[in-house]
Amino acid sequence: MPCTEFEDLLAGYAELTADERQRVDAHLRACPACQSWLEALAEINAALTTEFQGVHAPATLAIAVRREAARSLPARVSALPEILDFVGWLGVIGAASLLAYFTIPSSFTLSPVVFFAITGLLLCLALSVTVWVLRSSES
Amino acid sequence: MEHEIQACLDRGNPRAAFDLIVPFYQDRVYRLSMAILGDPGLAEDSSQEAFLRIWKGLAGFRSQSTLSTWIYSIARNTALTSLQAASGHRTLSLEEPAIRIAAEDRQQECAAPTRAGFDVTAMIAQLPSRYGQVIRLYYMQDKSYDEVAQLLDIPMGTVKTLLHRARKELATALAQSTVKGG
Repeated sequence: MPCTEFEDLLAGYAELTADERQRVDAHLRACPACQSWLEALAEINAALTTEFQGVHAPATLAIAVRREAARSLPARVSALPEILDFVGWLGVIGAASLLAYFTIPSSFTLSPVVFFAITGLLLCLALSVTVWVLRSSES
Repeated sequence: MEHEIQACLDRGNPRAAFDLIVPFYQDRVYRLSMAILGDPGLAEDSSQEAFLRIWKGLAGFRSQSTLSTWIYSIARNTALTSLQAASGHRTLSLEEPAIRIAAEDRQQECAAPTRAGFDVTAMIAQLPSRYGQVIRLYYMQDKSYDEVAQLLDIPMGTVKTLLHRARKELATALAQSTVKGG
């Protein structure tokens, strides 16, 4: 067993400052137990490096993952955000229409038919954009 | 690469995202599983299970954390579940005094390695599991404290402390084998 005072220093030998290294080296010259322990540390480090460096996932892993993923249910994208967007745009268009209907001076008021046609076109536009976004996400 | 994967998710294309995730993360996921389980076969099975969980949860990933944090969390939890199943009993804590004493006694009872041809893998198996996880992963991840901390989700200071203790225990076991007759 190493000397208690030097145990931590020996375990972190590679990261010692110059002064610490000098102090430890001086002790090592006079202490066979610490010397032996430091050699054991070096052997452990070498063995661990040999054992664990260059560990990679086996080639069969990716193959097995893709095969199993293809069998399981495809990940589905939730349409909720797009639906909420559409509802939001409905609200905006509806509010804008009502505001226009009640605030535009009577001399500029459109006939009800034209007014509702424009509102309907805007709603169709919002619906078309929503459907287009949903279809794009499925591709 | 994480940006490209996130871009696929933002476009609502989890399939394309998963096709990028597997090759990019497979080594880290496998090494993390290997560090926890210590067995190549179990690590491969655990990694496969982890990727399937990632696949099924990918569409619902809403960036609550970074993508890599989320992936490593799934890999870690899957490996720990496999470890519990393989050991066949509840997860023991070394903070329980009786467990710690039993673990230390077991360590001493096991035959010490001969100095000439020691099996470092077997020696690591005698360490407390936390030490073994950190030391395996440290050497697999090219001695990066930062990577080990991220994969195990523990502070870097804890990584250094556990590594320090693990090395000391291994060196002590090896040095004592010389005294006994190696």
